[in-house]
Amino acid sequence: MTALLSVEDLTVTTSTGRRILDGVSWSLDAGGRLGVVGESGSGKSMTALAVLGLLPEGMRASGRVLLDGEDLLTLPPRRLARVRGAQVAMVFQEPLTALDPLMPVGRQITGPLRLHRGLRGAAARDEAARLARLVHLDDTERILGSYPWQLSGGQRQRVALAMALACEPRVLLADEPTTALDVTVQAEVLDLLDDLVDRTGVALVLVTHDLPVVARVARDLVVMRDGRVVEHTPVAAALAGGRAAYTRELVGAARAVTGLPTTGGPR
Amino acid sequence: MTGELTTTTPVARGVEAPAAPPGTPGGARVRGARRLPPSLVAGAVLVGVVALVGLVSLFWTPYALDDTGTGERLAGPSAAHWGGTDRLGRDLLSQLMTGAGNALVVAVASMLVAGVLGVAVGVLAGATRRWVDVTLLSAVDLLIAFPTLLLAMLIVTVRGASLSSAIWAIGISGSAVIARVTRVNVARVLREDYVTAAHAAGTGWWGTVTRHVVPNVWPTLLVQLMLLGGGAVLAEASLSYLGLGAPPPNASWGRLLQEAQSTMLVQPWGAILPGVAIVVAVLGLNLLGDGVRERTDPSLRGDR
Repeated sequence: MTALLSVEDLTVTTSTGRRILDGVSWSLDAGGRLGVVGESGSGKSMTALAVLGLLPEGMRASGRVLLDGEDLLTLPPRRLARVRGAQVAMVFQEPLTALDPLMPVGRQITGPLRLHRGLRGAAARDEAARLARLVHLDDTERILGSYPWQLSGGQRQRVALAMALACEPRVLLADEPTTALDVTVQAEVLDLLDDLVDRTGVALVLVTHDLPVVARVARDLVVMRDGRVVEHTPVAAALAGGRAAYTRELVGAARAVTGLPTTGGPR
Repeated sequence: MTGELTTTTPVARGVEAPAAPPGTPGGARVRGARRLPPSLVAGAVLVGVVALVGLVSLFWTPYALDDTGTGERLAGPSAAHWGGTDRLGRDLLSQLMTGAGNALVVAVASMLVAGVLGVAVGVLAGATRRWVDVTLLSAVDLLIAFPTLLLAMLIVTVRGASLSSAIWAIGISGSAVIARVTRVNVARVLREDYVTAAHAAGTGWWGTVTRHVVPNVWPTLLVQLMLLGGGAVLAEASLSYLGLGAPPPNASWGRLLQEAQSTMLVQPWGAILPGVAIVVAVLGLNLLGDGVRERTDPSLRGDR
């Protein structure tokens, strides 16, 4: 079985020639759940941005990002725009800043519907309401008419998830989706994410510094450090003691602080 | 960092609350019950009065502008001449009224010129590649450094003294400031996460600019434009004070001031009235700008 999304030898250099990512490779099967972990500055978020060609100005990516065998890095901007949101969607770390403060969230959810599915007016609004219910935003009408700052952190991230899933993408890139949330909300959103991946069959790439989060949601694990992949292994194997010394260090550190289980992966 | 590790342990999963009640914090948004900001009301009233007077002057003034009447010069306020007369015996109130119309025409028209020019240049500079940005910015800097009066004299020399010359002079020099403000704000919004998020959702350049950039920049711009309108009233008064505005018999507050200057001790009303009129118009436009901002920026609204 060929991979749905595979990153091959992805290298990102700044305008000054510094390598932010250095030969990153991993692959994700349809319906797969991949966790990308590493400390701050290890390049895990940059990997997610590079997949969608969203690098900050001045940075250049080389290598290949294959979605169904099509290289996203060489795709012309117009075709890439049709992949973004429709085939590969993204959820960001801070839902307050990732939502336009001047636009009611309902209109923000209908944005991708209009772009990729051609839904307008009442049809788009109905679909937005369905998506809102999908991510358990009860009191749908009121929430869709609200501005982002009128919602709680958890509600905002649910809105962001609804937006990301609006066009039934095949891959969902989630960049630290629970980091900006407080404890109980984090657990809720994570459960929701888990549940959504189950129900929609979307393949998940979960970028996080939080090993317990990966242990709970992901099946495979990519450990990154200084822009390189240290290890690419099933989560269970990593928890049982990874091959790379750095992985064992990470797991050990997480286990010392929390009650990280010795066996992992979703139930 | 490590502290957050505790947040998602399997233990936390067990004690998870059954879905928090939706919208308890930050909810309770009362529609329609929102009060208008006081500065908006005050500004609208002041500008409204000036606009109304100006509008009336188009159809009716107590006396014709060139009517020297019975030759009663430099008279104080009376039943026949509510604002008194100038040194030629012309009715001051009639001139003030016409001046109001001219001031507002100049303000609005130069706001339009500055707005169209400035926003176009600003968006282009803020949303394009480095060298376009640098070139446009240098041009803008040059324009900012160029005194408005000098520009006005240049334009008047070429086109002759008229209202439209004043409008072009004020509009063009104002557009530099608008372009700067636009560029800075466009660049700021383009760095926001929600623009990256919009790109990640497949929105193109044009879609991002119209859906996210313009609405987020607009409130700031509107305030700037309103402030510019206040400045334009002042600039028009300065230009006509120097004889670079609309020539007589067309009235202008600036020229009224200039004409009253030598007779101020004999008939102070001739200087006081146009002075007050200028203050009212400028204050009104500035207050209106502030009020508009409070209205259009939801995060500044009182219903947080």
